[in-house]
Amino acid sequence: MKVLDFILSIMKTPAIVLGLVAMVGLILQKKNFGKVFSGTVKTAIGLLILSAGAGLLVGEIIPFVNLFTSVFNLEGFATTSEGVVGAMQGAIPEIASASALIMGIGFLVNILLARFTPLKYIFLTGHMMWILSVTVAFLLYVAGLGYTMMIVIGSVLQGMLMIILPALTQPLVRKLTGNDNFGIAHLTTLGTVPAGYIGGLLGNKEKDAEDLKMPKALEFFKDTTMSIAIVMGLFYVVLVLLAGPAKVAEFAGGQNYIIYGVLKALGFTAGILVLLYGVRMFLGELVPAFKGVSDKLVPGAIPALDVPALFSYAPVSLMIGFVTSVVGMIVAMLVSSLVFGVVPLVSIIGAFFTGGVAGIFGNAKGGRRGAVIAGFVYGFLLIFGTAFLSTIYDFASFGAAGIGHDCIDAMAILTAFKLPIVGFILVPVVYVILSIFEVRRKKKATNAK
Amino acid sequence: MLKIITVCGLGVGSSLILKMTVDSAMTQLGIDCDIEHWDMGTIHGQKCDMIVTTEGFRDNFSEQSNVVFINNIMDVNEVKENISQFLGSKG
Repeated sequence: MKVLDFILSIMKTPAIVLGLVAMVGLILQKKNFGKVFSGTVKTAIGLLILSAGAGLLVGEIIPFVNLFTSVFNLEGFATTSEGVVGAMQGAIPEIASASALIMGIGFLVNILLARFTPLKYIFLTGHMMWILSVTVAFLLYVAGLGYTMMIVIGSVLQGMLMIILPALTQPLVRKLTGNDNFGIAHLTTLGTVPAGYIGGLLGNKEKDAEDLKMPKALEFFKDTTMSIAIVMGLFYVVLVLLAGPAKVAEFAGGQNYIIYGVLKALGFTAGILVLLYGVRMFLGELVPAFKGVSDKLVPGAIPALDVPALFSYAPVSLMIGFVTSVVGMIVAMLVSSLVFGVVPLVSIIGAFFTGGVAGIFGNAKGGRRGAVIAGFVYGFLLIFGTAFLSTIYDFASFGAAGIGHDCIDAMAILTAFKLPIVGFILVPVVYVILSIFEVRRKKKATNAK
Repeated sequence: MLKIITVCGLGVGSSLILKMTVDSAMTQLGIDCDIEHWDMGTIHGQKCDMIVTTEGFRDNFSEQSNVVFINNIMDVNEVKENISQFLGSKG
């Protein structure tokens, strides 16, 4: 029994589990011993760095949340899904270890489903895969499932969602790129795709946004470090100015209140960067391992990639979507304060990467007006959605205080599964419907030849 | 050993896929290399022989001469060609 206990306690340590998964992947890729060893250790260390980053950013945002409440009598929080899941993983061991297994086994489920069903997508965006695995582990944990069931059901859910989300995006991707060479793997599908279609309904396809010229100043936002630092800096400084030196002194001690605000904003940025460094390290070996396995086992697979794969197709629409989604987010901040009493802060990364995609889809369906409308709708949905989500889940009690999600799909999944039976029926049903559509589409394509 | 860094916006998504493509390309070219992936915010502090990134970042690297730009991050042939051209022009 001692041996079994030992094995179980290994399996419960996410750093070890994912390290082992990376090791298997590296061995399968026939890398030399040095690379296998360093890759395995780096995967484990990456997870530890990630946790440290999550802890740092939560610590830096807490004063903001408290000051916000004392000034406005409303609950304000920063929006970063990476932060939420990183913090949750660090706080609750069952969620951490279950999510590691769900991520590993879930990928195998993705491969099996891609091999044997009409939907051939392989989800390759590592950090989104990670966010999804922790989200799935979290919702099953909250639903009260036992550890083994969490892993079994979680892996199946993970695998199915990893195919469903790219499948939902593919019609728009196909329209943009003209082919099925790649798909999109992201957790913002349920925001960008509807926003794109709404942009199509209300827009004018004749007027392409790509015929316009873009102001150079917006290029600045391609540097994510500066984007986060500036946006958080603005929010923090405005807040400490409104709160006044006396209130801030409760947190800052002897430090000048404005300097305190700036330092906290920079500290939050630092936390995010540390977290991303950890994510980068732990995915660095894992994703190639996953891809290696999928290349061997699924002929005809469609790689589903991160959203920047679309950026070069419509760079102006990207910027339009970015700017209008920020506007949508600010409007939603005001509306949320009235409707829910909470104020989620603008997610500048979300605005750039995913508001931009909404703009790209909006332009593809409805020209420049479509891009503007899609961006706005997307930004609004993101903030409004995360505000709503914070009323049905208390993330702070799970380690993620002062932060909320910025990935719309994570929000939708968590909402659907608040009443677990709803989610459990919805996911397989959607999968079957999408499969049927795909079979029909392929038949039409071959008949047309 | 050639030191290569692949770059994208956030440093975790596209740069990692590009890293895998570069890895395949370099194996096919028979060139030994060490590949890392980073983000736009931190790349300027890093020392390396070659940076590989996407066309969208061309303006951000206007002051550097050791950058190879790619259109399709999954296309091993495009990467192979562009890197060969770059290495050839370096003499």
